[in-house]
Amino acid sequence: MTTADQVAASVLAGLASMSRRRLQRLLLDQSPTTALQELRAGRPPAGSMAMSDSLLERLSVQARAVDDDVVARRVVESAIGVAIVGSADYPQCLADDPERPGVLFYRGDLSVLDAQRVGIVGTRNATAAGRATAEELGAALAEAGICVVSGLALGIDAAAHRGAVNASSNAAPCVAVVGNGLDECYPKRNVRLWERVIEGHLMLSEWPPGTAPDAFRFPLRNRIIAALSNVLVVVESRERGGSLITARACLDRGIEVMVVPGSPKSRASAGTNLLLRDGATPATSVVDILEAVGSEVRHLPAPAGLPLDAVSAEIVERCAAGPATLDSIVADCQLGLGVVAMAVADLLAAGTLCERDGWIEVAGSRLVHPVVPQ
Amino acid sequence: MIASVPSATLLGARGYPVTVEVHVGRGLPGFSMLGLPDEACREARDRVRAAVMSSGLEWPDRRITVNLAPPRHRKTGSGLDLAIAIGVLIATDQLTVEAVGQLAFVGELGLDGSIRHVPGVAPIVGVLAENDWVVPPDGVSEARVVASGRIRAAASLRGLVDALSGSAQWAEATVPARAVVDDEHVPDLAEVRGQPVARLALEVAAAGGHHLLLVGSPGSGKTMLATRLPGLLPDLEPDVALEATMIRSAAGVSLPAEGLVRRPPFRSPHHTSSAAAMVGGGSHHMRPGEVSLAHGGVLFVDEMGQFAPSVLDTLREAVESGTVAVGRVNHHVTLPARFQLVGATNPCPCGEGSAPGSCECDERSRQRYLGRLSGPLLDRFDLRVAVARPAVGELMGDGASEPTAVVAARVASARAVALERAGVLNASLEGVLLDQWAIPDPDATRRLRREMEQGRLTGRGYHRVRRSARTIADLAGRTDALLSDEDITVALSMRAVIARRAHAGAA
Repeated sequence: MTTADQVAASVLAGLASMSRRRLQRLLLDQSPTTALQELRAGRPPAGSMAMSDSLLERLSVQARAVDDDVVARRVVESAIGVAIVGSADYPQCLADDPERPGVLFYRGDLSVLDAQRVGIVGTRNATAAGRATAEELGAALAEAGICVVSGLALGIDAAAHRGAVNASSNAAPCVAVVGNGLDECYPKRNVRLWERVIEGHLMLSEWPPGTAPDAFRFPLRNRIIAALSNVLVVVESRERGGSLITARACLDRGIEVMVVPGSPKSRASAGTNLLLRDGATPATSVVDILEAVGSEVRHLPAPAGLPLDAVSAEIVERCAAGPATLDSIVADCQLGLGVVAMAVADLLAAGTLCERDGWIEVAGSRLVHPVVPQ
Repeated sequence: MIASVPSATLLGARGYPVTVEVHVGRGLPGFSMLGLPDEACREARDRVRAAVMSSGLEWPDRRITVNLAPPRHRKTGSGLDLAIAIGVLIATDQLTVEAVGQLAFVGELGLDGSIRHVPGVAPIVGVLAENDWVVPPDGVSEARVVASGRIRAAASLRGLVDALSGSAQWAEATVPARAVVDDEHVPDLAEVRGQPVARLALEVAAAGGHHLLLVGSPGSGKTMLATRLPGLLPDLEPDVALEATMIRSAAGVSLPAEGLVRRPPFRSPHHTSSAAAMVGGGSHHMRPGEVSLAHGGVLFVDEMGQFAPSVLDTLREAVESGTVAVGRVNHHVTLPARFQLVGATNPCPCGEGSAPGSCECDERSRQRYLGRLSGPLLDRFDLRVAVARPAVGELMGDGASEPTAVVAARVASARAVALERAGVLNASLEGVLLDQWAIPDPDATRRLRREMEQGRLTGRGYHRVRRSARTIADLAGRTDALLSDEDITVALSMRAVIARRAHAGAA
């Protein structure tokens, strides 16, 4: 059942000229229905934020152009919940945030947010090892009862969610914060993951259904990921990128930022290595993160590795330092092409290495598995 | 008075005999030309007149009619100038028919009476090979390649008339120091540092005649590698050399000093090239295109994804048939185009580094970029190699790489083995011959089976891998029918790039 207030809040949240800050101030000062009525009548709604005449005019025109019934139908059809700031169902962990969203659209159960939450973010253009690391983190944290928060983008985000949704049935559900309306999947390649998150987990957005995934919405989305996280883990990031925006938002809030160290040679670890230089905590194992969250540390079984012969071990070591080509392995390891090609082919077949566009990478996660006393 | 002088004109890479008939008679002074001359040919009227007058000869104030027989073919270019001038001189009794005899003439006249080179001297002379010819000095070497008659050189109309009438010696037909020819100076493989896989791929391509695709970011040395392929190839077979000479002559591209093209040519058309520039064409004379100019040698298609799809399609047809058929309303020409294709492309639009984690491109634009290449043309490449920028240490190091001469010797013996065995290079091994001469040993079979089961190798790819593995084994001196696991593995590593991407995209 959608109330008139929820429909009005959805309309307000979707106005092109409505800033996120103004929206939440507006909704704290009065009911959404009143605010929308005032806007449509061309009157400035009551509140502490001044509004220029031209802005009022724009908002008024935009508000009048929206059909409430269409918005209400979209919300109901996709079974989207609407939590308005200040209301009882608005998540407590966001309510105190200075940049809280005025309206929160959700699919799933908001009580998921009651658990400890760890954000896992990183670049879309990740290395295979980065994706494997994020997936292992997502799975292990979910098993440990920790709610994994991420953005369901390609690369690291998707891997973290994949780990979390593939964890056992009594693992903690995860949260995806997206930058578009909850009625349509973006990016399309994640459609199966998107459906699985909707099924048993929680999906959040501050944008009403029908909102397109415009580029400017994603940096805004990142602040919500930061606000939801008790600890943020950056798995891989280049020297610029959305993950660093999330990390900065965490630092502003006093939230601990942890970083999975990568090779100094790997461009995908350039940003994370900058964070380390600036004082972020290294996360070399799941245990590091569990300790940072203050969660109970349980024994995590290490995946069994294959014994490697000398040549294979040398090649794996070379690939661990950053993506390599056959050429560079031959040059760096001082081995013959035939020997390297055979060993690499066997390692690829065994899944120890993976290959794309001629670039060979270590397939496994970068995390270590320290033995934890029972 | 009537004169008749043999000459020839050009269509595609072939000459067509033309009889230049000149009639000088009563009537209003004038000059008319019959027999479908094109614009350049029609302008011969004024060039011939000026050349005759400035050579101290007499221009008749009578009615001159020139007929270029047979009249149904379009006559192109300025190569008939000289024959027309000689015809006029005979018809006005300034030269005797006996003095000229059955000499044929080709050459363009300058207003001062000088005789200039024209494109296509080799095919023009070749079509009347039994005749004695007078050609411009620059055309002597190529004319001698095809002629069985005597070749005379003439640098000016005056000198020619004097020689014909016996009052002067024929000009010494020395081989001219004409345009510097680039394919004498093929860069050496020793200059390529590092990149062992790409070097081997080049060697395999040369030894087996395989088409080669290089995938790598800018600055990774794709062009550097490709330009070194002709140096690894043996000299052209005599018949191919002759065809290549004809094509280059017809296209007006410089020829080696001795006339005959002996070394495999290297052509590198720009990606803005039109389909007509690639396969040949033009409204009348059907100039040979890049695929024909590369006949017997290497066609390097850099920035393959930037070529217009229609151009790439014509390329594919040429690769498949070894010839191109160019048709216009009035003419159809078939030109030879048997070349080795070397393609090069960036791995993605940004090109700035395909290494995982450093590319700027989003997934969709990457797939669209290489998607332009996909399809039948891509299937033609037996070898697809990722090329990465060599490390600084390799560039600066002074460990000398193997020079072209050493590699070319290995290539020559591998080619000899392949030709001895099957009569064709390994890239052309088909069906029964392939099954007979490229048998993977048990280990290799196991590996191939696994690759196919995991979807990394298609049925077509299976045959291509065996062909290139055959060449790899030949190069290593293992010339029995069995292919070892190592041969197959190395061959597999040289055809990864795009096939596996498509697989990754589907997963």
